Amino acid sequence: MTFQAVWKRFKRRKTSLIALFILLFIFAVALVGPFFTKYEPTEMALKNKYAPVSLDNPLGTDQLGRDTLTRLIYGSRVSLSIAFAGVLSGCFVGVLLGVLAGYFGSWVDSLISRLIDVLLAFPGLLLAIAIVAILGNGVLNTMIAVAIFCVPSMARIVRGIVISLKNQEFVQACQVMGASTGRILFRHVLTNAMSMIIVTVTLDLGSSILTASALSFLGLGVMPPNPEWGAMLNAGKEVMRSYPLGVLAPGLAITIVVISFSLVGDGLRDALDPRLKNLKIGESQ
Amino acid sequence: MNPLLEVKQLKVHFPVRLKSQFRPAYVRAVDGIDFTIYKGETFGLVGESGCGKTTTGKAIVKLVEPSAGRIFYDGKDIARPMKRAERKELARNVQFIFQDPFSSLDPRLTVGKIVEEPLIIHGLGDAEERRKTVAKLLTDVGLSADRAQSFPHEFSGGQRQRIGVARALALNPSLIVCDEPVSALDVSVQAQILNLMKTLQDSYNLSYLFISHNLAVVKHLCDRIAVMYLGKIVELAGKQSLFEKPSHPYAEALLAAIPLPDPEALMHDEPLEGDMPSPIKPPPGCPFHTRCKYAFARCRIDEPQLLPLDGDADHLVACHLCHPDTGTIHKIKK
Repeated sequence: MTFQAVWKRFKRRKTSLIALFILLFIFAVALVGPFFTKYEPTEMALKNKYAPVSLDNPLGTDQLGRDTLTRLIYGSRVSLSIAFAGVLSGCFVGVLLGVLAGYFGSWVDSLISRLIDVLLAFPGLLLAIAIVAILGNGVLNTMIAVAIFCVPSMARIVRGIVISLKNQEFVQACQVMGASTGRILFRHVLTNAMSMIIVTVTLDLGSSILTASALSFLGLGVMPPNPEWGAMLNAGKEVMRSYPLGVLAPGLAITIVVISFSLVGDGLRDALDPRLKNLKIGESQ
Repeated sequence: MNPLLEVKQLKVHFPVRLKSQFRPAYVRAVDGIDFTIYKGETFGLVGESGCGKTTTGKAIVKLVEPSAGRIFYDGKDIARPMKRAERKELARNVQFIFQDPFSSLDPRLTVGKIVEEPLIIHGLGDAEERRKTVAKLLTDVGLSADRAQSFPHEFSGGQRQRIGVARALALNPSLIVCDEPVSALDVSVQAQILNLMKTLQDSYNLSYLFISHNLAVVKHLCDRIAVMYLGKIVELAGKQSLFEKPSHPYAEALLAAIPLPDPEALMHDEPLEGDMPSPIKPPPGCPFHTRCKYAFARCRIDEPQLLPLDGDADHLVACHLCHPDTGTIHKIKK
């Protein structure tokens, strides 16, 4: 299926389209925003603390006089890069494990499935906390925690898809043709699983931002004074009454990004399924 | 006539774990069968669900591993484990048409890509030559060549089965194993596909192993027919011979069960009762004795061999009733 066809069907669902534009806007801000800010994210101006909303400080300043908008923009870089790097590497490992377990079965499957069971037995956030507790905090370790957080669910989803795909007759047809295992896996099994993988990655991105923020909020992830949304929430909660924007701004940012990722994920799921091609949105629900 | 494919004492047993036992039990899906397919013929394999006919077909294209026995293609043993080069060599000679035209085509590839894939795997021709080959194959199976850009879900069941046939033909094989190729299709479309297969047999010099539970279909297409029951061949004969004098009680019951096109006509025999015994624990003696109305003491102990009927080497039957020299002469009613 071509990119154009997917795009055409994705466009039909307006909420997902709007969510995609919001995400693109936030990516753009994270990418180029820092070149336009007046302040440094850690630049303090104690004389100007708790500044109200003004042209100089569009979102005010916090208890140390740091500009909240600047910190929010720099924070989006940290939050998004943790999410992307963590999810992509975690999902890569998850897909690999899932494909191996699903396609080869027998003891490979037993081994990998038990490993997944062990990881899934921990509540997600507790697992992330445990990993950070072992590795210590910091941006890189938060990424690793997010990555490990993504591995088991992705591996299990992919394993299920691969098992159902490998019993399909079109995979057997490839074996009859004399196709190599690599060709069968990459050209037929993975491409058919790809829509589910993309959707899962998108949804995982949302939940990973939440996990990374939660870790930082708990003081385990990114350390102050680094501007990360969860860390900003943590710092802001102390002075919530005198400066509500200090928690509202990063809180809303997290909410909007997570919801947008969910909506884009839903839209992609519908757009990538060729069987829904001729259905109008609404009929397919 | 030259034998193209010889199957000798083929057995395929699948291990299953039963709750009550520590040792794994085995489903004897195929339990020692012999047959030969000659060049240019259509060999039918019939039997009810679960008798092992599909497993036999899949063993020939190496989709399942035989537990014992030999399969010779053109004199070479293909039942043993193979290197990839040998496996590819086999793929160029023996192809497979699947039962379900909906799951046998990759939904994410265009029809052109699906038919082209075997050519790519075997490195046949450059892009332009492959495109021409695909166009010719699609035309040969009765589709228009400009539909190569369409996806499988845009086609009907019959058209999809035509695509499956085109893919099987792409490597120009000598033998095609057809696993119930029309059972998933409407009756009106079945005839079209069967006639297509007959036409292609001449133009591509094909031999078919045609697996089916539908005797009318088999009668239309096959030269020789083997009747399978519980993993064993119980009768093997030319089409004429089998339909005129079915000699194994099971074959007799199968033929009697063919519906007649006349609504006034009565069924000439009482239908077969009961179910096939479990292939995990097949009954001793003749596998059919549990349902056979002629069964007598010997059938429950002694397994009949597949032997010529009345000295006719082209009509083999595995039944004590049919081999006077080895047992009772007359059919004894229970």
